[in-house]
Amino acid sequence: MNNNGRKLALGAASLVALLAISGGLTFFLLRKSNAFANLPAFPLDSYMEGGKLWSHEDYRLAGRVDNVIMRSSSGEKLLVVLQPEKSELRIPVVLDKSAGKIPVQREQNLVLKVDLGPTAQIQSKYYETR
Amino acid sequence: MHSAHFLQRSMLVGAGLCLGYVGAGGAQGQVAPGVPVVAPFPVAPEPGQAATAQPGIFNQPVVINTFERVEMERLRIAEELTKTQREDLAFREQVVKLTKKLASSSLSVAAPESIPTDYRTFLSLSEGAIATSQQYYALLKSALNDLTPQSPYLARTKGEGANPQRASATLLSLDRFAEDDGVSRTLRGHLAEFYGGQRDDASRIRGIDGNLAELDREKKQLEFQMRNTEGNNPLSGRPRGTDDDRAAFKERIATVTQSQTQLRQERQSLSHVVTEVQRKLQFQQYIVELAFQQRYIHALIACGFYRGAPSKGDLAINPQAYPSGRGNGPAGGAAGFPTPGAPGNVSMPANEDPFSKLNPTSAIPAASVPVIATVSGMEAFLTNRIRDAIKDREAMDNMLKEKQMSAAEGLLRKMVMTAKYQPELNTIPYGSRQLIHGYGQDMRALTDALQSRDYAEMRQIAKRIEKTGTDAGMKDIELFATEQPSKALYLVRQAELALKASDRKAAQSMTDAAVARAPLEPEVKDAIEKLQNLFLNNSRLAEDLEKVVEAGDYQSAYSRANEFGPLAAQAPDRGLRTKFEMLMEREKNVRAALERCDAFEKRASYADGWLALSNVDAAIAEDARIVRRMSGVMAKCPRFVAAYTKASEHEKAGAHSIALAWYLSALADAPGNTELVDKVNNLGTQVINR
Repeated sequence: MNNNGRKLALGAASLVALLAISGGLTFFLLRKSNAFANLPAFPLDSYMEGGKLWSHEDYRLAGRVDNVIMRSSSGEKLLVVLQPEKSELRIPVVLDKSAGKIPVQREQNLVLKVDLGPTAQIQSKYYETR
Repeated sequence: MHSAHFLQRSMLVGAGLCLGYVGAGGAQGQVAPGVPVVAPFPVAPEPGQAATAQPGIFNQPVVINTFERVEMERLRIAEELTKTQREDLAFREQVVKLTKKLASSSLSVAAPESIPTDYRTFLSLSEGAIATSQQYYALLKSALNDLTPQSPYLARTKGEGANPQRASATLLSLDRFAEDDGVSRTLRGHLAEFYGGQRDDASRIRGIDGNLAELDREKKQLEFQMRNTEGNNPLSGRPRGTDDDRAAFKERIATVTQSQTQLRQERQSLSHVVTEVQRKLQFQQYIVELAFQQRYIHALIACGFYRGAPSKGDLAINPQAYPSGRGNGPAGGAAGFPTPGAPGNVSMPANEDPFSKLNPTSAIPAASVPVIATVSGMEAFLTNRIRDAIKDREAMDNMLKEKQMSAAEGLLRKMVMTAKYQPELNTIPYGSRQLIHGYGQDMRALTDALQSRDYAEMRQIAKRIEKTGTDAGMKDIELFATEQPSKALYLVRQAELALKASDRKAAQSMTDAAVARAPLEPEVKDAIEKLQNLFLNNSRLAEDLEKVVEAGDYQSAYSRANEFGPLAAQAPDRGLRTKFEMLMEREKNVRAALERCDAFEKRASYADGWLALSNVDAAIAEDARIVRRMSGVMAKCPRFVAAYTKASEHEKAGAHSIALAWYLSALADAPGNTELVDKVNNLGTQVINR
């Protein structure tokens, strides 16, 4: 193979690699934004109005962390103030400390898998950042 | 029920009276040191409105008198009341003493009905009558001088001797004077009998017997004729007479019977013979009677004639010449004479001479004549009486000259009692009488003013009396009249303080005492009127306060705190006081909430402003000012209000998680609000630990 052929092959390989990397990255990103996509969205308005919701039913809730205001006496739970997407409301979410791979902090965008506790509190054991 | 309510209201009014008064300038100098003074309440202007009151610290607690101070004041009022009662007694005693003093200074002070008519007539006698009296007494004195060389009026020497004929003629001329009352004529009649010898009525008795027999015959004839008029005429069959005929006969018979009776009485009175002894005794009796009547000059004239009688030399007076029982009594005694207390003397009952207790000079007994055994002794007694009268007259003239009116009036009274028919008394000039009369009138008016407590009049009259007279000191009267109005005013002010201490009984007693002390004093009247007006005003105020408290109108309670506060503070009804204080607190809370809202609004913290209004007590939550202001603020932060409202609703419903969500949403619009932070903390703790 002459030099031109080798350069051509190297360029093609690089392009393929680039395409592969970008495709993988795209896949990875797409895979994350669609976390808990199979779950129904949390009925925020109904909840805020005190409508009846089934406990132990999982919902998907996405929003920005407004504040972490409290920690449980055991230290296992956090009370997080979440501003749901496209809403000016603030809702409290009881979050397991180990629910996510990275610690929760303010201004973080999260997608949570939530359900309602016995006293209608919103609780989450899984969340992902995005 | 009603009376209790009224009493309570009255006491409330009483409590409030004073506090309004303490502030008044009029009573400032009189407020006792222990009297609590309540400062007016500083009232804050409503937020957003201009302040009308003076700048000060607003919404401060109400200053209420301490229990100790109020009780101390009540004790002081009780002592004051006791003192007032004591002083009232002293006042009455003082009035009695002054009345006695005035009575002792003038006869006219006594009740008019107790003043002898003679005295009053004497003072009111016209000037012309006095001139006539002077003529009469000049003649009388002349008659006396003609008979008695020892006469006190005699200007001649003894050597000139007596002239009974001229005296008798003078007596005759006296009869034309009204003052003589026919005494001189009677005296001449007695003289005629005394000198006339024995009198025989036998011829008259015979004449009467003849007349009686004739009348008896006439009477029998009339009776026969009257009997003939009865029955019918046997011939004609008609009645013999009519009823009118019989009545006419009866009338004639009665007339005859009456004439017979008169003649028999006359015959009986003539069936005696007057002896010389009897004539002497009668004349002596007449002398004594004249002496009793205080007709000393007439009595002396009678004595003079007695000396010239045929029985000259026998100057003894028969004891029977004196009234019954008098001659056998102790010499010089007064029993049986028309002295006070004597039987039959109606005008002067025993121990009831109205002047004897008042005036030593007026307690002169009526004329008394001692039992005297001889005509000479009687003459000496009568002469002394006349000389006394002359001295009294001279003394009285001097007294009038020196303006010793009280003494002059007393002496005049004595002369009226002891020398009623003496020329010295009856020839007192008209001017002198009027001076004494005017003085008596002034004293009478002064006594009336004292009785009616007219102190202004008293002062005026006392000054006038001091100018006209020198012997009746009026300083004590003037001092008394000056002192009483101020004392009465003091009592009225004490009554005000008693009302202040809710002691209505004491206030009433003190007002009564003030009225009794100075009922006509204008200042006292005004003060009492003011007190009554104040009482009425406070009565209305008490009614208003009750209405405000019952209606729970805290806004009115606060705006009229200056009026209601003192009233409520002293109110015996603790419930009313407590309710009023509660209303005051409510209004203060309203005003404080509005003030806080103002402050937040200025910083554009509308949510906090709205919260400041929404968190007020339920009792004032419906207040129109708060509701109106809340509406205004809500328009500026509707999202917060909606969130907070929903949070509260869910919190009340027990949905703590949802409530927390709403509180968190509200907190986003009011960051840092402590109330919301607290709520979030509390609810968050509950939520996270479940």
